[in-house]
Amino acid sequence: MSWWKTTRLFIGTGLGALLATAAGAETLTVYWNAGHAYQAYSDVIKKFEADHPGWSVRWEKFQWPDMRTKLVVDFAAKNPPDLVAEPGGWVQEFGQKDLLRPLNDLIAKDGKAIGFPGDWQAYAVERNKLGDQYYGVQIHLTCATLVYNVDMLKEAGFDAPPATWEEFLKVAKATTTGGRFGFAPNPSIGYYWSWFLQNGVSYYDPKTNKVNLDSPEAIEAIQFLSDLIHKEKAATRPVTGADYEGPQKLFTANRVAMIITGPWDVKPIRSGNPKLNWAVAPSLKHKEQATFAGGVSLMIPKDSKHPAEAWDLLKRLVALDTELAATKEAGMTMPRKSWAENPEIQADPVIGNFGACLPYAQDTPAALRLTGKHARIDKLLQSALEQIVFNQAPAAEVMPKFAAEANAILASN
Amino acid sequence: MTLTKTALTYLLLMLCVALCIFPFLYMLSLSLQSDADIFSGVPILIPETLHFTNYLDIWQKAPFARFTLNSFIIAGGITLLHLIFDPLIGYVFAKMDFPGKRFMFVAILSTLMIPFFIRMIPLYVLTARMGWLNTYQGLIVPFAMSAYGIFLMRQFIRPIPDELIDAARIDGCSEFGIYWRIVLPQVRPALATLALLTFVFQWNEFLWPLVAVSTTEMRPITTGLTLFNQEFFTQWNLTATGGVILFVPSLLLFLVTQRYFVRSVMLAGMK
Amino acid sequence: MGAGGREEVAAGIGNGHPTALRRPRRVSLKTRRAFVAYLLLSPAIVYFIVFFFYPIGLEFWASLYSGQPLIGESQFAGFDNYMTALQDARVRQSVFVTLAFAIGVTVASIVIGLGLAVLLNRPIPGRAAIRAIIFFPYIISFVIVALMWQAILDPYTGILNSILAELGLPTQSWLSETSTALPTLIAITVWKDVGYAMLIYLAALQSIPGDFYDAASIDGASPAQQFRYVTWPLLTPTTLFIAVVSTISQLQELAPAYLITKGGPADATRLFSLHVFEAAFFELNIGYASALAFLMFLLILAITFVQFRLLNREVSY
Repeated sequence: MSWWKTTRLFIGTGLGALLATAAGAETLTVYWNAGHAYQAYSDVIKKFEADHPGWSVRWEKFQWPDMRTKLVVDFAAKNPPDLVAEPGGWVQEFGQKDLLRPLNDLIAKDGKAIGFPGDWQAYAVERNKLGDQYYGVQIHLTCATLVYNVDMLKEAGFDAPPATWEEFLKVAKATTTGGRFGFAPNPSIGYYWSWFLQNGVSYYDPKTNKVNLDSPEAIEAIQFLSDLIHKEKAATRPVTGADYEGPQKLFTANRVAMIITGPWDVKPIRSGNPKLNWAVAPSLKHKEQATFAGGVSLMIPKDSKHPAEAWDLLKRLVALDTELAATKEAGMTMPRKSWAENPEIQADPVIGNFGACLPYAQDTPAALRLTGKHARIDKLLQSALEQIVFNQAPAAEVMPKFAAEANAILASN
Repeated sequence: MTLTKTALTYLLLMLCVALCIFPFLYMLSLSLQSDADIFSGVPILIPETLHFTNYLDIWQKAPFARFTLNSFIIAGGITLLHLIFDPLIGYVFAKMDFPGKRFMFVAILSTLMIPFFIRMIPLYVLTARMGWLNTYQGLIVPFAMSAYGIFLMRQFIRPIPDELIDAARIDGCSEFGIYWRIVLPQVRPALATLALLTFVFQWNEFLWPLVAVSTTEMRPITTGLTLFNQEFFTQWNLTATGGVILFVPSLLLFLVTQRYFVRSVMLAGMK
Repeated sequence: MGAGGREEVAAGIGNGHPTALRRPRRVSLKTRRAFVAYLLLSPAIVYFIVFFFYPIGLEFWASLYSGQPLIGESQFAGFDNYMTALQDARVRQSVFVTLAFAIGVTVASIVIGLGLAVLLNRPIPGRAAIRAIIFFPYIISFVIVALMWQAILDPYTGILNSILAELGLPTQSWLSETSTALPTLIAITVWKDVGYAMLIYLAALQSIPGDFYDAASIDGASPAQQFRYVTWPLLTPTTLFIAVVSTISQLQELAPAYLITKGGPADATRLFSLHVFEAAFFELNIGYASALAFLMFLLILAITFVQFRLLNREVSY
């Protein structure tokens, strides 16, 4: 009989173990940007798995547009991931469509411990809120500012980077010689916003429900950029397409004196041309000193099967130590005020200077996003701005036409 | 006179050859460049040192061997299903009479006129309900046949003389037997063409694998390659390396099938 | 499958006795054949209903709704989405661009493909290799094609302009000017697809019997006249086949615009499919995107219908 006992025991434990693994074999699905798969985050995920026995994290990496396509079909099948990184704007957009889980209860429980929202730059909190509801937490906060080739400026007789549009124009013209250019604008319209913002222009006025881009200041700003390219010939013509790296390549190749970019270009510049003598300057000022903010937030879909675990992982990913490790590894800038105040960060000439722009950076389409029509209007704006910057159409004609079209969309139901 | 003409012909053809091969040589060149080369911002045609390491790195930086296997299973599986179904359906439309034939044929052809991405959302929901997400069957079965393949095979089968088929029928051959023993052997070159076109198309497919796959291990090469892109810049050397690897199987299949390709089109006379 | 057919025969004609009346027997033979046909077709019927008509039907349903059909809340809107689409100036612009693109690619593929086929139809050494190389671009993924051409055409860091500059030729911002962006996109697509047209023409040329030309040369026709009066008319079915297949696929083409230009500059390369794709996945306006797709379907159907009419008239198809 003992063989039966043994067998039973064997089968029993076997089954038990099987059931235990089946019950414990839980998967947390996380969508991430392929360019942000830092070791720092990989370590956090390993630690999370160690602290949650039986859990494994499925860390799937995509390019942003691909991730968006995947997310839309996931939402349609009510089969979304548990935690998603997003490139800005998706939190409010999907939140409005009731596809995300509000985080208020979780923040009420843990907010104090992790310093949310107090330790975050205020606009980085606002952009992830709808009314009183929190739908996302910022993990990266970036902004673009003026990056310049120190030697090229010196050769042209400038010891310091420009601080105003007038100085900028002077430097750009002086450094444009013999196949080299003063400035290389990025073709993505997000970058054009530095000119609008520095001229005191905002995208949208919720009070009148109209866009503000037909104002004289807006027209002046975009005309300034267009003239820089076509009239002054002090800048390269932007290149259409999905490709953001054009200006960086020219800068790295020592062929352009100034570009506007963010911390993401640090690595390609350093590895492409280690000898390049370059520096990061504060953003320019015309009416005001300003630039546009970008970055990544984390959100939990409403139909996530494991919101509690997703929240736990989120907390670990936005911890100050993780932020500092990611900065050290990849040069990324971060949304915490305590990060910006960290002495090591402030001492770094590159990261410190990018970080110094964060307080005056702005989330440009914040107010427009709440109308739910941001994506459509942004497409119209892109077309309008390209007419000016690529086709040399006068801004004074194009912008009012764009504003009329956009306002009609805003006014419709 | 003829000599200059031949020379001129060659010159023209060489120009076309150069135009067609240049981007490939450039891709090959990129795949042999170092990180410093590709970030330098200066276009490099012939790298100073050839970095064959990219071809080793690519297998380590991502499960590229698995991607390749997945690509073969998916594109191969779909091609096999096409070879089974497209000629059979094409034969029915070419050689058999039944009520509703015209309607069905037009209905099937009309599916060519709706872009795939429009069907994608309902198709994804359907696949999810069947429990086929992230499985090979979910990546293969929804593409088991195509209106284009059926149309192509119908065109090739139509010129086969009816007498041949009737004779077989009188000899007591079953309908399926006729198809299997009489029709299929006649259109073998066309099958090679169908295989090539289907394989190449599915091998390069991006959108459906992007959505229907949910783990890195199930990705084919096309969506696997996107892992090498950073947020704001492309790892050109590795992407080009992937491009070369992606190109080779299609090329081999083409070289094997190309003589059939031309023959099959001749056979049909494209009527 | 054959067995099923035989059972049907047995059931249809009683004992299958040869003395059965002629008429019923013919009817039942027809029925039997139809049954076999349906049996053989059944996988296709199931497949197309499940994977094509059901999803297309759902999308049509979605096109009648505003809000978030298929994803979230939606409201029935009748044909509002269609009306909006028809009144949208950007839609019209995009249809115009798409027609120019499809016609451009189709005509250029036919002209260049035929030209290459004629050149390669002569017994010149190395023609198999040349033929293969010209077909290369057809078999490579558009993702890679897009990356390569973007890198090559970049006005400042691209290899093409640096070669042109070294030869002392003027450089160009190929993709950044409204006037050259669409032609460049057409050229890239033709570059990719022309090998296919060439191979089909080559095969068609080789199937033209030599006697046709012999007769023509006896009549004293020049090579140009031979081409005009012998080759070209005989190639009409091939030409129409390529025209139909190419138009249908080019009208729906998404990849060149999506991967290379994103529709810019200033909507100059905004292909219709890109417009629809963005409406669906960027603007999350699924109902509207579906309506746009069905309008496109009608347009393609109309164009194909006209082409098929031509095909029917010109050829005993």
